[in-house]
Amino acid sequence: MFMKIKPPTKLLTSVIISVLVAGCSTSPEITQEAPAQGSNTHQENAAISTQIDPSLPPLPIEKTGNVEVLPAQYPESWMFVDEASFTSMFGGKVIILDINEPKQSKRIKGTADKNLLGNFAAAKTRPEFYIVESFHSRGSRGPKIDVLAIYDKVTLAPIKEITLEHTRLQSLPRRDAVTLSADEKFLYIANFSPAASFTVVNLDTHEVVDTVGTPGCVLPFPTGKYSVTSLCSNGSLLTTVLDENGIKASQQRVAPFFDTDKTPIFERPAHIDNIAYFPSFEGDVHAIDLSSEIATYQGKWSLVTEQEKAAGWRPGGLALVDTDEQGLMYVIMNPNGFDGSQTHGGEQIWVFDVKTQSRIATIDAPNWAVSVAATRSKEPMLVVSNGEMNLDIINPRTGKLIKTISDFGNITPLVIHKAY
Amino acid sequence: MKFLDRMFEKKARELAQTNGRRGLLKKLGATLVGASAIPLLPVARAAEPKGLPQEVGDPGSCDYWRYCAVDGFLCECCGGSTNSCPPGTEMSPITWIGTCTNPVDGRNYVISYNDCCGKTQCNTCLCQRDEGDRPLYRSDKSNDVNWCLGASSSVYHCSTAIVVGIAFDK
Repeated sequence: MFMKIKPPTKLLTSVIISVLVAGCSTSPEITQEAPAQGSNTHQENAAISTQIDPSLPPLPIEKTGNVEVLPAQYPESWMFVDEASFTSMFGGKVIILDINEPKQSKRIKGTADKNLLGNFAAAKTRPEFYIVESFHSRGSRGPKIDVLAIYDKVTLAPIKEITLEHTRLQSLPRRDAVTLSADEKFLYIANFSPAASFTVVNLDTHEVVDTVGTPGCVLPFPTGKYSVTSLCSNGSLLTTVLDENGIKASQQRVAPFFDTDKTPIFERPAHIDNIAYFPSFEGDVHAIDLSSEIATYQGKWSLVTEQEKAAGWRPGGLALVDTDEQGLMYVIMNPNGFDGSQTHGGEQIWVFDVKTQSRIATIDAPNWAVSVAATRSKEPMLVVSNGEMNLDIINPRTGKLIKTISDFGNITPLVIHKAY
Repeated sequence: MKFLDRMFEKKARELAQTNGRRGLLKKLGATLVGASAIPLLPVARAAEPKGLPQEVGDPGSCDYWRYCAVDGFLCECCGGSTNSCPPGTEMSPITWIGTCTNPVDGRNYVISYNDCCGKTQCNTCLCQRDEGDRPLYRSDKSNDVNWCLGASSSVYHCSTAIVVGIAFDK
């Protein structure tokens, strides 16, 4: 691996221009296909402001106390960026970012705090999103409470905060720590103390209705109408069936399908048509059908050929897979994989058609890739958390880097979510 | 290169853009420890009683043998050591383990990576090696979790690497 570092002269020039023109931006931006418009606008404004004309009428007096609101339906180009804030437990937040916005100063649409490695999920049909976070009463000291904060998508203010009785999962961010039932009636919250369980919240009433123990099995993958499937320490699955009120009705195990020591899988699947595709550390992909009441194992196939496997190609990263609305699966691949490289990321993104179980494209990640997400669009864009913890926007159809987005309050933007 | 190393490298470059070369060198020094770029130093622990197993290497370097499965800030650099927490923090009794080979005696040891808790991240000597790390479903080997679970404060500060036993099989 080598780092791509911009030539010093060009870099310095970019920084100076940014400081002089934007005033608040010191991070230069790479733009290949679409030139940034913001800088020109700023320059024109600066030029206009120097022409003093006292004969003009004074500006109207403005009202104070204005606070912006957002649309109930977010555009396809908006994404939720899970900023984990790896350098401060108190700095986590979700940033709502328009990745198509050319003007740096207009990209951030709003934020929501996410304390002590909080977990996040967004609803598709409800005007809400959910943050499960923790607080000590006096900063890093004092009694701790775990809280579900239900946010209004329009005002970005909490509608309700529910104190949780069970210790919620606190780990690096992931897409499946908080999930919703298919009809979005129930919210499922992963708990880990390290005893594993999940808490069920009725989203119609905004009340906790049950907490279900899943000994040795973690994460709540929605299954069927009101079932939840968890991954177990012996390589099996545990499906919990809930009743219409969200109360546990029964549990059923699915036979082990991998060895957690020798052939581990990532616990971060791609979801396509109710099938969860779990990549393994060495490049297999296991398909689990989550469409019915009980999960069923559908077998495995390989992301890599024998030659690629022998050469060292492995999946790797944090949110290392995602899907688009056409049902394609994107996987970050590392050419120098080994046991220990699994979360490090990779230098390419491979595109798979899961129906034919074949790779249809290979995309270079020009600045390394740690996490990947696809926008929800007929012509999706890939949003890649790169090795410098900025976001590379890549056209997956052409493989071209559109631009690199930096300077949006990012420290460690480790997971990107689609916004609805 | 691991992504967290890259993040710290990025921070070092940003510092250079604003603080000048002196600042860069200072920060880069800290970064390189995390990036495993300092050669393994043959520093035997001379104070160990004769006959007991010896250790070689710099506990302040990510290369140090005990850190084979670690992912976090090394307490050695934060006012603590491989087996003690910095002053004013609290060691979590619940943790994950790795199995690392001591290059001196060739034995595999069970290493307990107890987190030190109660103050915000130490933010130096970041070390991400992850050998034998497993996802959350194998919680005994999972280092993505904030293991300050068992401490009175869930605020993570740094990670130790304590020898807690001899492993029969790696």
